[in-house]
Amino acid sequence: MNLYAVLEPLLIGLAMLAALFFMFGRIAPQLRQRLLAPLTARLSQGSTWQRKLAKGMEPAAGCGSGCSTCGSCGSKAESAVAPQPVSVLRRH
Amino acid sequence: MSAAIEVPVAAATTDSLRVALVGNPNCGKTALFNLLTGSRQKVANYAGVTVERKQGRLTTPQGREVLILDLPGAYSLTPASPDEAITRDVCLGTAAGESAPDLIVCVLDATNLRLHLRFALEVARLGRPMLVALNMSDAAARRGIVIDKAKLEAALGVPVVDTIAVRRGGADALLKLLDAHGRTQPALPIAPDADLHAEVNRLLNAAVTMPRRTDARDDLIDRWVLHPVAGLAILAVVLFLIFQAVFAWAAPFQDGIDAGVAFLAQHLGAILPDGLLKSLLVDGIVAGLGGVIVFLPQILFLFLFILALEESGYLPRAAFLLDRLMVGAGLTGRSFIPLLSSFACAIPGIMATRSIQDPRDRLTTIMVAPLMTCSARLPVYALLISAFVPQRDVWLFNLQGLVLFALYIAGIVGALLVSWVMKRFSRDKAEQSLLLELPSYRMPRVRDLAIGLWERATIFLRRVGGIILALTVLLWFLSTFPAPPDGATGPAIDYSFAGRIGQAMEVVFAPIGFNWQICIALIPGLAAREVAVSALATVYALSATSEAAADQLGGLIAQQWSLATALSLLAWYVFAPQCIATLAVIRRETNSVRTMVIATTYLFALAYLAAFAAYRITLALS
Repeated sequence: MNLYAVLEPLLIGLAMLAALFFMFGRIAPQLRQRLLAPLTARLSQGSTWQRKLAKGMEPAAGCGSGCSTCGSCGSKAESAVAPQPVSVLRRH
Repeated sequence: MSAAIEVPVAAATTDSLRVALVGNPNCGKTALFNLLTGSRQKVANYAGVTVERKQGRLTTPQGREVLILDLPGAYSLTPASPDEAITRDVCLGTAAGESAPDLIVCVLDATNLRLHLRFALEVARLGRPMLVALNMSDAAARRGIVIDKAKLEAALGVPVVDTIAVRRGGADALLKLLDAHGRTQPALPIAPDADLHAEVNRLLNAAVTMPRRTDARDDLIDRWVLHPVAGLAILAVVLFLIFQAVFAWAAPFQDGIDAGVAFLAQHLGAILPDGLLKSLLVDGIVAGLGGVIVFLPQILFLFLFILALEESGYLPRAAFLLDRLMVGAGLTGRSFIPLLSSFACAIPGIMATRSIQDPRDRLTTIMVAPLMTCSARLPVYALLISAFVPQRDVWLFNLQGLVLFALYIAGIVGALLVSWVMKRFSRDKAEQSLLLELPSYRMPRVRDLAIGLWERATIFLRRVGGIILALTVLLWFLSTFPAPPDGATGPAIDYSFAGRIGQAMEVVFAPIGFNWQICIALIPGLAAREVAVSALATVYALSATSEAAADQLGGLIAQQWSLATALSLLAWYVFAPQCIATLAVIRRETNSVRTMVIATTYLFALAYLAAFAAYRITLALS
């Protein structure tokens, strides 16, 4: 068995895990954050690369887009999201 | 001066100076905020761009830490819309979890002091430390408006500085004052019952010399642009030319990207041995992402025009022109800017409805915003148009551009029809009059356009490298496993998870002409619309029997789909709510799951009906 044959399933597995992790964060960012909280807390006290890893595992800051995950809609990550729900009152 | 962006609201240290930028809409607060903090918040030449509170941090030349708050524009501290309420709450110190700012910087448009001074006087009444920034002072000087700052300072009792937010160093005087903030006093007391209009007139008479009320150049342009007939014709021509250019000008750049992607796929295919990793890289990632990234030039050309129109000051005129049409359809001219924002993405568009005062108008605008053609639909439209519409001219016009224009118009007409129906079923049929400030015309600045385009490119590439890549990898897995059984004769994808899911969905979508490959693409398309293109590219690459066939998605679907199917899919994409994030924002902005469910249901129903009609009519005619 050559090196490529060993690496191939490993790389594919890693790609799948990364894609699943990303999509999980997109669909349920708060749940992912809760589940990973113990791990990120531990990593953030470790070495530089561990702290960087912990930072990367945190969800994107609220971007004002409503979904508050990707910042890909053009809203900026610096805005503090304050809901302003519409309320329609019936006229009597 | 150094600057950085702060994310958490609570991050402000207690000893840092908190400064709030307030003022009427479109006076340049956000441009000033960007200049001070180095931020790149969206700016445009119309009112209502900022609907939320933003914050950033800077260090003054003397090393003072300053936290800057950029607040939504407000005409008064008695709010008429939700975004104005944010400004009032922050100024009064009643915003949840936030104390009043240490200093209020009241930004005034120096070319329009008659309007803007009124708000400054309202802020002065609060009795808090404040100073006045006369923004666009260069434009005022060009128009011959002479402002005696010393007299204005004496009358208001607060420091007054000139700022030019669009020029490097244009806020130096303001920074000096921020360094010396300890000496800034509250404004001179103004009696609560004082007539603010009379006060404004007194200030203007004392400190300002105005040659004329409006710019002669603006008046001349407006004579044509705001004409009830010529104005609408100009608007139609402008929009039409944009869509022509999107197809005609982007083609060479697209060809270049296409060639690059093909080169990459070919070389990866040659280097890697046959196997799953090669399939993931070539059929999955390169085919999928390459299929989407090729549309970057078209998106950038579209935004080049939108940004130029935003900067020029033309858009509020378009809102004014379309007010009658929009009111007739149950909307308001104020809906124009949120709906226009929705052409980029429905999410900021829905957020921008906060500037609409009437709750029913706001709700209607939220409900129809997803019908505006967002930029994520463009790759889908462009793919299908390139595959099925011949590249030829009709009279002087590019036929593909004409079809793209028609699709955008279909979304607009759909929105007008839906809002008209909503109005008919609403008990409240009152019409809200439109009061809109028309800004002065400006030549778009190349730097602003470049920044805007850079940001759109970054957003698009971030989506490609993020959600589209992740979904492409997952779809490749679903399309590859399980492996076909022994003795299987069809393509392996037929036996995969994705193949089975697609075939199960086909029962529902067969009446509108969708095959199982399209059905598969619809699912990841819910996370991001353009993923439908990468999903189709991956599915067809895995189904392909030859390398050459896998390279060109457009050619493949042109061979395998009927024209009726292509038109049906286009009609589906005009109306379908193919974006979960948009639905989440509808829920948040309306605080109602019911409203979100209604929006989802009506959009899907509309999409299915439109696709059914397109499919059946095309079949009948062909």
